[in-house]
Amino acid sequence: MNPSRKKLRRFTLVAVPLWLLNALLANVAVKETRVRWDFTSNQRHTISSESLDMLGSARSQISVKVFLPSALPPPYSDVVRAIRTGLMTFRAESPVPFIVDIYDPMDPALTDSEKADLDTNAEAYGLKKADLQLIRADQRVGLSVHFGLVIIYESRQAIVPLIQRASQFEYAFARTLQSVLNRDFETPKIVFSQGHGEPNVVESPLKAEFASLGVIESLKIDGTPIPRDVDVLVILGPKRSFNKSEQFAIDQFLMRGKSLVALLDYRQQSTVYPNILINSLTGLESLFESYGIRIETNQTFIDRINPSPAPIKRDQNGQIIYSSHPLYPRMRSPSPEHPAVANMETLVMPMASPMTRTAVPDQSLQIDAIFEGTEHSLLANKVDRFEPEKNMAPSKTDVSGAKMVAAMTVNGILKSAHTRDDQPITKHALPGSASPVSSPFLSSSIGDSRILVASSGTRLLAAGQNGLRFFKNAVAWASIDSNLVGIRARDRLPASLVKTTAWDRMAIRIVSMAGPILILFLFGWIFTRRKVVS
Amino acid sequence: MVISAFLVMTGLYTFVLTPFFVVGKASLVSFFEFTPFLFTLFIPAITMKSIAEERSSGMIEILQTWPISDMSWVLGKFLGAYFLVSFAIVLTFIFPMCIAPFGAIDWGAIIGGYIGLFLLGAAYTALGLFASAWTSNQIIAFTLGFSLCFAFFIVGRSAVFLEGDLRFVAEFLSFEKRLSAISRGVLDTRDLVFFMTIVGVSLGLSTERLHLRRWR
Repeated sequence: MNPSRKKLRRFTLVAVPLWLLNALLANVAVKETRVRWDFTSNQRHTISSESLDMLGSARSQISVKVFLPSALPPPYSDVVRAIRTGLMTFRAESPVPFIVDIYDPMDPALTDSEKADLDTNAEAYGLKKADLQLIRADQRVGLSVHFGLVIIYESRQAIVPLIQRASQFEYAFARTLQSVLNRDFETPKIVFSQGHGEPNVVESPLKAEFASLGVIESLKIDGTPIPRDVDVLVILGPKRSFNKSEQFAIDQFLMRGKSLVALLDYRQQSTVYPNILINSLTGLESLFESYGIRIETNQTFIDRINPSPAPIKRDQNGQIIYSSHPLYPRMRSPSPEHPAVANMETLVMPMASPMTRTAVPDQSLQIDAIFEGTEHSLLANKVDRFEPEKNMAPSKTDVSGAKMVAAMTVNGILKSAHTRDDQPITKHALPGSASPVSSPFLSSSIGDSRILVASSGTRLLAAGQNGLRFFKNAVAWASIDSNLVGIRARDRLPASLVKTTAWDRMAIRIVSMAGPILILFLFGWIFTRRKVVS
Repeated sequence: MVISAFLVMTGLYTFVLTPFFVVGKASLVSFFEFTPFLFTLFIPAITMKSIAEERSSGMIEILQTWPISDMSWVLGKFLGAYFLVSFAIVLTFIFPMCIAPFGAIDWGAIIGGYIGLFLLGAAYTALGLFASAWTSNQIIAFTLGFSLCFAFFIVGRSAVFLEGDLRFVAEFLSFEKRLSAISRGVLDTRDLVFFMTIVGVSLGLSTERLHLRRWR
């Protein structure tokens, strides 16, 4: 071989690894000194001011024990990364020492005894093993491992609820941090009512969504008094009516200064004929009327101009087919600053009924409309079919639903619905029952009660992410824990498009496809012409 | 021709083939999800002839007699191809402008998405050029370029099935994961440096390839 070629080959053999080494070094170097820019309008991917304010209230060292298995595949690896990054951000912003100890229960370097010690350590902090679903050798396998965070502040400690998505980290961590920083903070107990055909939220994956808000349990409402340690009662889409004694139990629960979130459905699809809608009442309407909210259960919001997608049916493969449906109207919030709304621009409220404010004598209540109809909203009197084509047909009896309210909140000192002229109907017994009550009758609430009523229930949760977000905000507001709602508010969906006509849509399509090509040809023409001229 | 096809396909996908108006959101998520896939075809089609054609036509022998270094030559080829890719991306600025009158767009996320596309475009162009430097056949250059781009894009998805260090490497090399972070509107120097090193290494290796050839 020619000596020059030999020399060059040797040079290339050195140069190639050098290129790779330089690249590797650059990536390692930047890992330690990274800088990030958040371009989003509300800085939604940066630690929020709410978290910073709370962190600022710390007076002594915060210690975080983190049990993070490193060898997890996606999507858990994304969560692990979000936790690591988030903790580093909190540490950088903390005015007090912020100590983070990370343990890896799946570290292959650990011996069996070290792993056992780590498990004992985690159990000592009260951390339970999380059941994860992994894919190994093309098989789905379960893995039970300690995966979570414990925050220790002064003599208090708290476990951060299991984080299942990267976006949940900040809220879950800040909420737990709040509970240890504030000595008087008590974890609220939130119960989901059962016994009237409501979906069992506590037994569903939805429970995890509420875990960061407090202790979550189910409660059968059967007319017996609601336990005193319950702070928030959530009634989601009951299919059967609450009877008098159950209404009484709820009324007396509210009189103890507690809170109620009610997401109610007044149109139910028949199980035999899904296209037929059955009107249903919950029995709570008279209760709400005495607290200042009247629900017009015979009317339904319709939006024929700007309808939202609704699950219509399933195809042969079991995939849900969506179609624009006038019974899925978009609502707008007249009070976007309300914690339950938290700047949500719109909310799809399927088959909602309008509600109005009633005159309530001698009560200083704050009643707020939180979602109302838009200029496209109509109110239909008789809606008995779940067929988009049929619901699209205009009716002479339709009236404008603009500014008509579909969700309301009541806040203040309530008077019992079972009181007339300050004389309780029942002083010692439940209505319709001869049995004495164990607790004294309360004719007005002993503290500020909170009620949130929306006339769209289970379908609201299935009509987009904003539905679930609204539900969580509502429960947070009811549990008087709304100062961190702003964190979640930043995670809202992109803004909705305003009403577009067929011409608008056609114009957007034509301009977006033909426009760039025309510009391209224009440039080509100018370029060619200049070439010819020169 | 290639740019026209790219523009038609992105426009068609974003506003016709996906239920853009049914979803009714002032966002270009579908565009930013689809374009990286389209880039795996579109960019190797642009770069395939950059060096391969010079080799097959014999022009490379003449070019290598010019008083410019191989690095400058490769850099020139890269910038030429990248200009075309950038031009195609710039022409799609009309998409957010079309939507803007009909909804409050989060311009931060859009800017992030476009920065991601420019970075990805640079990385794919460099990889395509690297593929082109290895062969005198344009078809082989295209196939090799497409395979490289697609492999880098898809490698993150294999992380689910991998264990230990291999999983770490797969996640580290994944273009898709890094792009999804940038497309949310967050630019991190780690992602920026990663894409720049991909460009640097690809161009460096292309230069070494030409260097070797010079002495054959």
